[in-house]
Amino acid sequence: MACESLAQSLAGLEQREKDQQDLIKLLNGHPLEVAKARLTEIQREIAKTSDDLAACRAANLPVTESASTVGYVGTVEVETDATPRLWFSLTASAGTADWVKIGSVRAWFTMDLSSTERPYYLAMLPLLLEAMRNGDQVSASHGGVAGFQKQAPNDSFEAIGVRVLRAPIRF
Amino acid sequence: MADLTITETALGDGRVRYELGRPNWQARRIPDIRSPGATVQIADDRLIDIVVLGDGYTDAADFRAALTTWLQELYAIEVYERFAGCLRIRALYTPSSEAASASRGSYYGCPIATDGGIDQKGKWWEASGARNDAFREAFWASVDTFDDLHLRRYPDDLTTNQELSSGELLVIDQDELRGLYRNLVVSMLVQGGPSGFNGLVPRPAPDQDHYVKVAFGAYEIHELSHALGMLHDEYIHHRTEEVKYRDPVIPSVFSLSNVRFSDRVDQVPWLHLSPWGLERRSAGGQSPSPVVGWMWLGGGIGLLKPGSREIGAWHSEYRCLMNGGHDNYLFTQLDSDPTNLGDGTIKGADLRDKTRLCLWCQELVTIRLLEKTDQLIEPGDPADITAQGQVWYTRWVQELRAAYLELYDVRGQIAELEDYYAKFTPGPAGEPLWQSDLYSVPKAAPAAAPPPAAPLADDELLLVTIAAG
Repeated sequence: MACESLAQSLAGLEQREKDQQDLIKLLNGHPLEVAKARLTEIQREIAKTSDDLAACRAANLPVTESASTVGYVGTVEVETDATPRLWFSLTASAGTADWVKIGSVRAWFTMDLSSTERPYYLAMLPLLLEAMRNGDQVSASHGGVAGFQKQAPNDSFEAIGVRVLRAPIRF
Repeated sequence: MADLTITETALGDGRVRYELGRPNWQARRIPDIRSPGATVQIADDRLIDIVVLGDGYTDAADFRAALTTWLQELYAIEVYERFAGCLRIRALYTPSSEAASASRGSYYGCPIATDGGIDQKGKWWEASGARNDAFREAFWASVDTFDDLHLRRYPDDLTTNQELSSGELLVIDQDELRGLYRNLVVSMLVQGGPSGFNGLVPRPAPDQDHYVKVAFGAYEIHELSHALGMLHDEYIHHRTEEVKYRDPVIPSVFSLSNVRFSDRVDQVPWLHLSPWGLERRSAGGQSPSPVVGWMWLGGGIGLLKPGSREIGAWHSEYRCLMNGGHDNYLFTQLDSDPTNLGDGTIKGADLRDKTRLCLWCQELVTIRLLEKTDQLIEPGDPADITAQGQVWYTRWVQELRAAYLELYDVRGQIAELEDYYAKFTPGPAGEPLWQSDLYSVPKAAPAAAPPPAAPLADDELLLVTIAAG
């Protein structure tokens, strides 16, 4: 939002610069000198705002899109321990138990059912179940390693979304 | 294939001047990063001068032989071969009456330590003292033998620093950039030294705020890459200690490093090279997991800097030209690692690949060379150097990186590397590399705690019912 605000300020300044240049064409004598000085001031503000905008955009540069992992739904689980969670895990091929790893451990994707995002997570559930029934390939988008674990350290990833492709289409 | 021709011209007093691979750089053409497959001619004053000097050589033939090896090893690295058109390489032989030694009787007087390496104590190359002054006088007199050097410097208002807590440091500090020659680096070959390092050598007064990066060396292309690419060591220098470095808050081509101090997914600049990046890859069961672009443990930063330690530093690949030996683990941080000799001593694993930079270092060096040759700038860019660095990094990520990836066939490089690492079995019982605990996957960005749970709404119940059906 900060960058948008700067971009709007820059657009406003550039319009003022144009207006001032138009005004200068109509003036002479002392008013002309005053108007020219004002134009210089506006141009200085434009340069500064332009630099600030560039820095702001650089600072807000998204490093990457969300991570995603592709596979076949091998299991879907719900647990109601400390935090109620929906879990799923993928296999590298349909109909096998070759669990997809991230790093050196089997990856588990999870959704916090106590979160306000729960309606969206529940919307993913039918997709996962249908994909598992049909042997369809899914792409799960997710964040980095979560601060908790399912079976082994560094094995859990908060799911952000799920995409499904009908067999034999593949990602 | 780069040209490896070396031509020589005898000067007075036994000195000999050399040109290395002149056909590579005489036309000043480099890949056009905006048009893959095309080349562009850079301005004459944007060539990057590399001056190679030698200390302790008593015979010109020995120095020339060292130059031959140096040039072959330089062009073995893909980025230097691709961008050979901007690297104007020349050398000067000055006869020493004796080999470099602790008594500093060689031509430049580079001191040798008791272990046979170049002594680094006291940062003599920049410290005061008559012998150090004499080194700098001789050094600059030789460098200035080349009277057409491009002596553009980074401006004194270049800012990369940010507010830091007590004891914290930045890998690329603005004080190391301000006044530094932008298109000039020097390699100082020192005969016989088994180790090397990188130093900033100032000019004598009154120009003592003018510096050049110097690769003092044994394995010179590693050292040159410190100087030319602003890269840092990727080896573990002290096990089990925590780094004090922090990452730059605002990314800029001037402050970006090959070593990172956060493993959060939103703060890893090489994530596009990871298995979550442009080549999405995974493995199941006992198939080898992909390992390129994850968070590999350690970063030496530089032996001369405080906080050159292990914990809290990451680099992007198992092996690289910028890695080394020192206190590296081979496979595991556990006592069973083959580098633990059983008597309480360590023989660090040599993870240096003399034939290649890791993919992130390769990209960084490409960025550095493009910056120095003015290939990142466009009309309308800010006049301020600090803002330029930030704008250029944004431009790199959003526009130019795609052409870079195509130019080097980075997708193909990733595939080759994953295949190469999949065959590694460095564990004490022959375990494959992907089972190693020396790497980790980026951590999640912190999220706000969720508000209290509400009962299921009607539409949610409907979804659950559908799913159950």
